[in-house]
Amino acid sequence: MASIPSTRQNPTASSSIDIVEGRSLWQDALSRLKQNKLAMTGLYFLSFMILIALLTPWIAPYSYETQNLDMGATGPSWAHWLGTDTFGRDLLTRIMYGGRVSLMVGFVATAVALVIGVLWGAIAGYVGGKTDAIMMRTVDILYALPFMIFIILLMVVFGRSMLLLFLAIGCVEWLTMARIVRGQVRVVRKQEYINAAIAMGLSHWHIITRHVIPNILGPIIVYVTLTIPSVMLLEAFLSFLGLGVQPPESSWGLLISYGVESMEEYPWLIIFPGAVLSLTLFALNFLGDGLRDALDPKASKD
Amino acid sequence: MTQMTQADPKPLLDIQDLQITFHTRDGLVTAVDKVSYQVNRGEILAIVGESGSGKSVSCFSILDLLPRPPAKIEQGRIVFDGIDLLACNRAKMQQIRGNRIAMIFQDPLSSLNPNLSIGSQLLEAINSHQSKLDKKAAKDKAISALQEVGISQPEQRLKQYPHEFSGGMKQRVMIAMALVNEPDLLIADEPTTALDVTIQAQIFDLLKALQAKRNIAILFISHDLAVVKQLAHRALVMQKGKIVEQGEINALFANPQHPYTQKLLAAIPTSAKPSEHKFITNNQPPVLEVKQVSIGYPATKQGPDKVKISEWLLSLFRKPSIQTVVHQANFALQQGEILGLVGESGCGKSTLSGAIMQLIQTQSGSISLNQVNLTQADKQTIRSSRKDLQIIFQDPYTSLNPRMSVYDTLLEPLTLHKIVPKAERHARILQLVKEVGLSPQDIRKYPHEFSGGQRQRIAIARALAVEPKVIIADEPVSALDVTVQAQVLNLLLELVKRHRLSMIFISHDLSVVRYLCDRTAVMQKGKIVELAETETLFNQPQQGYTQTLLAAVPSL
Repeated sequence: MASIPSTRQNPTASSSIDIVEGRSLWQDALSRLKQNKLAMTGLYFLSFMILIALLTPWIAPYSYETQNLDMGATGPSWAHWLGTDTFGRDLLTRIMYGGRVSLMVGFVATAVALVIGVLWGAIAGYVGGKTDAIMMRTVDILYALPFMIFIILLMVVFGRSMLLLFLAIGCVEWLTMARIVRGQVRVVRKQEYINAAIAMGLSHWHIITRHVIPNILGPIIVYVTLTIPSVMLLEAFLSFLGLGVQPPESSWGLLISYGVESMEEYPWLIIFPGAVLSLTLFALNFLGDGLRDALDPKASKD
Repeated sequence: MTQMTQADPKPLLDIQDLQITFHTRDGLVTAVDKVSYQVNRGEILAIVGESGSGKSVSCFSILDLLPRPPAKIEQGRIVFDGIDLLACNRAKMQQIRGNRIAMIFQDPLSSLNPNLSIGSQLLEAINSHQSKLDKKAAKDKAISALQEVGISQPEQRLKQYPHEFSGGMKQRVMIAMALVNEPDLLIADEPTTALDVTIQAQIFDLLKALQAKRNIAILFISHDLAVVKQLAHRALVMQKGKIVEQGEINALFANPQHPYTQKLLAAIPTSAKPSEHKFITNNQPPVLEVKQVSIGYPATKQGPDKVKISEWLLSLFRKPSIQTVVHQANFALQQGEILGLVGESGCGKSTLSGAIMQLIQTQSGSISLNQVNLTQADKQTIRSSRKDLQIIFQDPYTSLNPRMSVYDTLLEPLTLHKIVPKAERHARILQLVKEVGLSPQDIRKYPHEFSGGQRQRIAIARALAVEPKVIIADEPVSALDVTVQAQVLNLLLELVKRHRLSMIFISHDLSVVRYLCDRTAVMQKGKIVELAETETLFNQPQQGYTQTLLAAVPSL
């Protein structure tokens, strides 16, 4: 998994080429990312986790809900690699199924927050004036609503569903994203290259997507890597209150919170889910850092 | 301090074999390479050089203001009045800073804390070194310090905040702060670069007067030789971290020995040189015509402290009151003509150029490009007219998108306006790059990999890419070094002539305008007060303001 990609050789052997090709920021970023071993390791690890999550129903060694009360909690063994929980359910299987929920909530809710937040913030910051005032006061008002009540109301009105949970979390998290993006856009908006782009006759939409957003990617990526773990924990919290995932289904957050209860007797119940979550978050952070550096031409050595 | 002045054989500041390196990702860079110089009491010593020559670094090291790491003082000695500054600990350094050696910085806009009143900042400077003074005495001292630098009504001014002062006034406050503790040495790092010529002249007079009165030594850092000649007794020229020449000021200017000094002196477009090109009168209609144009901004709001929510909600729907900054500007630009637009900052010259570019809305009047009135045109017409109208901005560090390679930057206008067929775009980009004097290998690079002059070349290439008819150059060289200035100006001139373009050249540098422009317009407080052929304007200025402006220009 940690193998170095073979395409790493001479991605920028430009010095001897006579016909110089132009390349876009994304092409450059990809070649720079490929040189970052840590980020690539993170990328491979995340891909591996996602692949496992997708294949879980076919490859899981046991059923996630069948209880075996005779067995109780047992430590790791050949039959149960990561041991079993207090109901005698295979922990590996439960971590695999839990990963489906946690990764999905992490990525879907963050994607919702990312799309709404970036668009909202970018438009408010770019247009400015009254539009900005109205849009950002809307954000302030939404901020003031207690989000627990908001989510409970959603659950009551629309019934409990996994997708709704993702959307609800996303709808809460985009507010901060919008604020961060809006502030950054205000700074970029004042730069002369934006005026130069307007003077060139580019459309505002083109300017926002090509000139503004690429220049605020750094903070966005950092915030995304912070948001993913926080929504995973938020999901665990909601599930704990009975608003999210219901037993016998599980998620990493839930596994950990149950593991905490019996930490002293059955330490493996917290060690393994905790380790998987930590490793995933590590991988995410390395990838995020790598992406941020790769997308910033100034950060590269060549 | 002031008594023990003349005939002191020992220099006030003695720098010996100073070597400073920077540890960067690209390896070790020597910023200051074994530099030695002395500053005597009561002397104004100027350090001249281009950006990156190490002039600021060497002075920052005197006050231990360098960020360490990456900077490292490899060797050398800095002795100030018998004290070895490099051996000083932090506490001792603090006693010297601001008390015996003071400093004023280049940009008065950012070197004052915007959240503290002028008075509290001045008092802070006084209290940190003269703790024995009581409140009343300290305040009196602050008032007299402001008086000394020529600020009227100092008592009221003390309560005001930096944003209530103009740039020149802020620099005066900075000088007052620097001098309030009666230092022996004042380090001035390009103190007037950010200011207008007339204000610059006032600040110089002030510095000279204070220097004569207090007999302090001034270490004056500048890239502007004309300024240095006006002010300094002695000068040293730095290049790439080394002192290449030093000497008494008149001798240095009259008889420069080192080739670099000669190059620097030659690079100044001297006011005496008459422009070779004359105003072309032909009967063709003008390319660009500006008629009775007035431009205003929404008036600045009152402080936010008293705003009620209901008022705020109402203000969203109310039309803000307008503050007019350009009054009824009139001029016409012929094809192939270069029109200079000069004036102090805040006179509205950049606003006017923004309005011509359709970046700022006009209040009244008309701006016609090729007989099409743009002020009343629809969006589509304006967007297509942008092809004929391009702008080069002052600061090449902010006018290029840092996340776009040169290739992308130049590809964008070509694609947008479909200048050449798709297959020829690549060749066209290479041709543009070549035309502005960059190499084909450069197209893959990003803006930060270029120097200021090279960046401005990219900006010029971007403006030329759409094959415009009119180019507005908004102080295109004022952010660049003198020798680079000359190169970029000549490139601009050559390209404008080759493509038969018209250009509006906005500048505060009158000697550059004289060198370049066919006609010159002078703006003051939003009005064009004088518009004439350049030579006529410079030789026989009609308006009082033009005369003041010309008189303030430091010349060699």
